[in-house]
Amino acid sequence: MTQSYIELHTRSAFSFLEGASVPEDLIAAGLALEMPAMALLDRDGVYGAPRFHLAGKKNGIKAHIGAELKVSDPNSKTFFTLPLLVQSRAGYQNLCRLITLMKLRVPKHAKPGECAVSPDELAMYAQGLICLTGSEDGPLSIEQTGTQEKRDAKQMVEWLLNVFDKGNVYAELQRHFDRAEEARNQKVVELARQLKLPLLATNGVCHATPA
Amino acid sequence: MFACIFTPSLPSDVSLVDFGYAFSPLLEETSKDTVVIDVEGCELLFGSAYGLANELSLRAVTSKAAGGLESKVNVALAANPDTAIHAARFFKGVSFISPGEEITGLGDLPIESLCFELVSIDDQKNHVREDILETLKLWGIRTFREFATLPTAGVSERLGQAGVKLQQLAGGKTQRHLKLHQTPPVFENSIELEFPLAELEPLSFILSRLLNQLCAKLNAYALATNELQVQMKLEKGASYERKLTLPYAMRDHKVFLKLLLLDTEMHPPPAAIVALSLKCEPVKPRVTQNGLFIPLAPEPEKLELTLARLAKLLGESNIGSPELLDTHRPDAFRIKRFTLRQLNKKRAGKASRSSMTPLSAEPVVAFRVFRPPLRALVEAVRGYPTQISAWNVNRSVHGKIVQTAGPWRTTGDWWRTDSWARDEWDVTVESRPEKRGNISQPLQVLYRIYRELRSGTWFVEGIYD
Repeated sequence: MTQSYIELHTRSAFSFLEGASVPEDLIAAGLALEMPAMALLDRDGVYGAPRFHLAGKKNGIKAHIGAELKVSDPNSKTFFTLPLLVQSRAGYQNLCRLITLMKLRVPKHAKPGECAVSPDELAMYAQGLICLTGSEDGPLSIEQTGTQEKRDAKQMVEWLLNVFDKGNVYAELQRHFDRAEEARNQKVVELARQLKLPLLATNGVCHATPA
Repeated sequence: MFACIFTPSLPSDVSLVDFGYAFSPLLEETSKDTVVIDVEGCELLFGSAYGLANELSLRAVTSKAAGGLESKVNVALAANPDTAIHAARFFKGVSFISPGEEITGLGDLPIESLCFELVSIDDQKNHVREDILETLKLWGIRTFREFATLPTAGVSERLGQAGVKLQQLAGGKTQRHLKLHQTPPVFENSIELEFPLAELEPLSFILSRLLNQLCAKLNAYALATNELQVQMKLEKGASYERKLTLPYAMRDHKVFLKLLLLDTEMHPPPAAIVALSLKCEPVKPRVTQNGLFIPLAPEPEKLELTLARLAKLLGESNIGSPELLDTHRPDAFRIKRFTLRQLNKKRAGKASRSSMTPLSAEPVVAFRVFRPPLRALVEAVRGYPTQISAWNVNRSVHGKIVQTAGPWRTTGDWWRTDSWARDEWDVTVESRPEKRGNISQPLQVLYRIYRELRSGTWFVEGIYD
């Protein structure tokens, strides 16, 4: 790995069942790979952000903050996961506001999918946030989970561009040696070309060290 | 006329039911300490109904060896079973209530003694009993007679149907049949042989006889079976057991016989048979309704026989229908027992609708799997395959790899000994040029190849159409 790559999609162990390494380990892995910066996007919260920020500061790595938020689909009754990166102080405030609104609304022991940000809330607090198009559970996943209903990916990206403005939406590509993922990547690249979206390569990191 | 036998202190090792059966085959086991017998027709044996009651009372105190209970019993004779039960429970010794004089006999009993469980009131709800008794107490009703003489219409208005039933019970006016006690049938037949059997043919005659009796019994009870157990006692004290599990409930002895014989041929006992026992698990018979628009399936009995014959020819593990396993392991399946799928009307409708759904507009590439996969020699440059050479007796793959896509990595079951890890590639192989007229055109074919990561061996998995 060289200094030209920055990992912008990482989950820590604070994302339960989604991540396995503590923020300090992730920073250590970034340091070993000579990365100048890293971003932590925990699921539905910024739980790992303080430790990630402190570890980054200690090791001279710029720690970017963000979160993966569950968003209800504006076109159907399903949900998708939207990775959001904080761009500015206002963005951090908006991200925290979105998380608070979502958490306050749902019951204590929410069922999967109950805890989600509504499209209107997202549109209201989108300023200062950078949106990535995510991976298999993101807004551009070809088939929705369970319903097998095909989502109009182009319509979805247009909606994201409308919410976050052009320049703040990145077509995310991940590669995990997975046939279905590669097919999705091809479609995302095609869509990005049509809508002139910048491409962003990430790894969707879940652990700092191999098993 | 009915006789009720009640004993408050029944020894644990004796059965009141067995004692009652010594006097009449028509017997109801009301509770553990109470049985009622129908004494109609017993006059020829015991002189009169009263003579029978006396005999019951006298024999009860005799020893167990003499057919007694070794305890005193109350015996009551009455025209209906419920009156007899009340009298036996609350009058000591032998009591006789003449027909029409029930109210005279039971009238002085306290109202709390009324057996609510004899009428069909939900006895799980204890508060019903308490509520009714409290109401009667408030009305000043203390005895059976007082309750029985109340106007029925008024009781019905205030206590409902339950109250009317209880009033009839208190007046000894209920009419019902005995709920006859029946011993559960045993579907088992056994035979001890005079000389050891070592051949299949004589065994078939014995099995046929046993199965005939068993199926006749199943038929008599309108039952069938889906499990047959054969227990064989062999020479030198050994035993041998076979269990035949059927996917459908049947009771055709000829089918059973053929299935058992085929099974015995496949799994012969290690020694000669000296005793044989056949047991079956009774279940409700299969009920099917054929539809006009549902295609006829083969008869299950014939299908089972055919499958058993095929299993004998090919081996049990080589017959059945493939079932995909819930795993990411490529090409993982198992052979399960073949059964006919029973579609009900709704499902059949759904199935036909789903089969009529239009196909997706997107083109689908067909993939032909090589079973077993073709072992290959692959040259790779920096991990990317560049040249392939694979062959077996049926097919061969040779040539330069001109295009690749991959690798697609799958791993799994790493905690087991049969774990797998492999990298899949889709490759375009350019083989020797094919001459078409004067133009020679290279032939390009798309294959899926994979490399076992543990052994580093390459295989050709299949070809794309």
